[in-house]
Amino acid sequence: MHQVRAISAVLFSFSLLFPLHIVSADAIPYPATLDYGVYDKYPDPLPRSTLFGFSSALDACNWQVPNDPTWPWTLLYASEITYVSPYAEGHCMYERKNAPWTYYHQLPWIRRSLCPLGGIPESVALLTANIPPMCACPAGREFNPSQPDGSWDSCVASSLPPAACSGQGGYTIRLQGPGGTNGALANVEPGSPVTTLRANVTCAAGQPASGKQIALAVDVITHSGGHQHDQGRRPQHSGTVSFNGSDTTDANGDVSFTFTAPAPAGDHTITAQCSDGSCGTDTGSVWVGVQGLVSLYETHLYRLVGSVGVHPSNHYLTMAGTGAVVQLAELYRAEFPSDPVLRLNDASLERGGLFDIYYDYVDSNGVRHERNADGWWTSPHSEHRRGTVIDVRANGTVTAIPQRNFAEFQDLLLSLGMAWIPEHLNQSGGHYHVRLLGVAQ
Amino acid sequence: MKNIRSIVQWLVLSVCFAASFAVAAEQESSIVVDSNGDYVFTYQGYRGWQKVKWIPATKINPRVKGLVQPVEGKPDNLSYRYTLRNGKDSRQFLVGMRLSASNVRSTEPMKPTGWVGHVTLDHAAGSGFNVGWFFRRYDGPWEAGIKPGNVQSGFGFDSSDLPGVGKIALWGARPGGQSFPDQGPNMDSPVYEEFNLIISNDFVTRLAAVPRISVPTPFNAVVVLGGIQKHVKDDMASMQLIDPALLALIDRGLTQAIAAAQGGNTSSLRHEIMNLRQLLKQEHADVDKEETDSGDVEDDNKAKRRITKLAARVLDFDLKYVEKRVRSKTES
Repeated sequence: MHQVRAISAVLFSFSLLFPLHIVSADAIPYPATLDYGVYDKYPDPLPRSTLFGFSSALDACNWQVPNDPTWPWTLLYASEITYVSPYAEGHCMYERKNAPWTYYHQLPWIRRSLCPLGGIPESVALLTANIPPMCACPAGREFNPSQPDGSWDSCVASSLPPAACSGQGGYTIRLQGPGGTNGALANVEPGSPVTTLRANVTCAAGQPASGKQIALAVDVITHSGGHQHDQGRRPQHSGTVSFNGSDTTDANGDVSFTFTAPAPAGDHTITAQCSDGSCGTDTGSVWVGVQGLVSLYETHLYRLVGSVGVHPSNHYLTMAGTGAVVQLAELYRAEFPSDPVLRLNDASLERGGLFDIYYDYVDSNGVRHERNADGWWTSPHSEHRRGTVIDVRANGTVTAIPQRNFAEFQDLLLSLGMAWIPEHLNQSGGHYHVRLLGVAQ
Repeated sequence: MKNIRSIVQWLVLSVCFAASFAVAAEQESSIVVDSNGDYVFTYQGYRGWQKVKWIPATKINPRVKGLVQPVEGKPDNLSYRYTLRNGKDSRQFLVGMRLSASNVRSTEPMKPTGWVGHVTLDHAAGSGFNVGWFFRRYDGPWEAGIKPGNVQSGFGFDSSDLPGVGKIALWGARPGGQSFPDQGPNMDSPVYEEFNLIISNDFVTRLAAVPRISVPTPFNAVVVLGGIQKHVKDDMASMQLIDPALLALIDRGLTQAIAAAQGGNTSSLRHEIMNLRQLLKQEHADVDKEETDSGDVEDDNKAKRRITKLAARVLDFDLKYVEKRVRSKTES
């Protein structure tokens, strides 16, 4: 009897070390590894990319400092996580070395979650602290338990004995995609489609279940994408789903479909279920937005204005846009040292996309829309969608660009390769709509 | 009586027809250039229909004369100098100029009195520098700068890079306060694209020699010749500055020169460069003159050359530079 107890204790300890030998992979998710990255050195030839492989935001921000003596920046600080949901991102703030002027530069750092090969981040609830999300293997697969060091570095075919699907019951549906920011099924830009999404149905034995008709539903997470005004849902802007072919699972248990993002950015959810209700539901998210936008921070060169409760973060730009506007502000200040520094109003929201601001608006069919009657989302800020456009105040107030500077300010814009639209200058709401890279977007 | 009634009916119908036509005409999006060369935009914006007159900064006919020279005692430094002429037929003062350069060796360019100049990173291109000048109009009248018919020299900077042919943007003086009552046409307006094209290109362009081809330190003939070859094949060809048959000859010559440089065969390299320069001289006898002029494109078209004078001079300068650096390296 003692021998039996001793053997049981050994087996129990062993099971703690290698739990996947005896427990289904789906039952025990695996903690993902946190991986920090930084947007590539600027200026650099295109294409730029994010360099990952750092254990902290500080390490990522310091990437260039020890390795490249020509790197012209000194790191001032690495910010804390900027976003609470649903992805982790902050910024590195640098100051230019040996510059004849004060010149700040920002790079975004990004945190992603790494799962063992083939694994899928199971949760996006990771963002308030350094808590990694958990990883899961797709249906019919499990974490590889056979690594000598005990690490589970990949998902392998399940060790459970295969069984026929028919008559098994217990169907499970899973959404799959190419992968996106912090566990999203995919990333997609506003207004664009992602065509590589799938719903996969398996039966209790983990075998593909064919012939199941699938129903899909879309929604959007409240207040995502920088819009604090969508009272629960965005009926007009929740994105759409459409099947790429049949709505019934094939021999692999798959149904392929497309999600088309709406014009505003946000976190969109897709819920899939079998039409006969036999396989439960699965919900995944699609990250809709423009990647790589960073927020401007106020300096002595300019002031940030125009933040309102419904759009609290209105100064997001690409790295190139940030560099361009800082140079514009620097040169304006040098040219007009006695005048107020530039007041920078709306740029883009935190993920770009449609920036709805106007309270009344006439569309191209001549139909007038009023916010009080129509609700939000009907009134677009022209452009301001990709982090390359910013409004500079010129409304006749004492802190705006004075009228006597208009001609020279325009020359300054042209000399920097920028384009602009002057909008009701010197009147209420007057401003220069500045295309920082000379492009309308 | 019947006649009078029918005449009145006819008049009423005519007025109604004319009125409806007027409304329809008013609600047609359009962009028209008036007799003064100003744009009249008629479009639907977020505040409804608008008709706005826009004075562009393009009522100038400028020429750019460029001079590229090695800096005395600094073999890896080149001075770029520009002289602007505002054509007699210009209808605006010339007040600004901008160019993109692959390298600039100062934070502030040379500028004539009364002008502002700056060197900034070229954020739109993602690499290189933007060099801009504009006339300081703050203290004086808005209509100032280079008067039509006048010439202004004194623009320039130093660079470590060899010249290529690049576009220079120039613009004229126009009033600073003109503006739109809205954001311009709605994004789905039929004139939105054309409107943006006009607004975003509110300057005229001229070709000139600008820093374009990187010169590494220490000097490496293979890299520099490769840069020249790429510039000829990509930029000069796309700007239609060179005939395809001549392009093929020059490309082949450059390939052979690069092979000679790779093999360390200096005499062969110099021979290839000499052949290439001879080829250019056959097209333009004065190709080794140092100045380049943006106005020569039109002259060349008349003469039906296989390469424009500007492109030939820039290319000749680059080849001569490589030859000199190779020779000085060999002699030292």
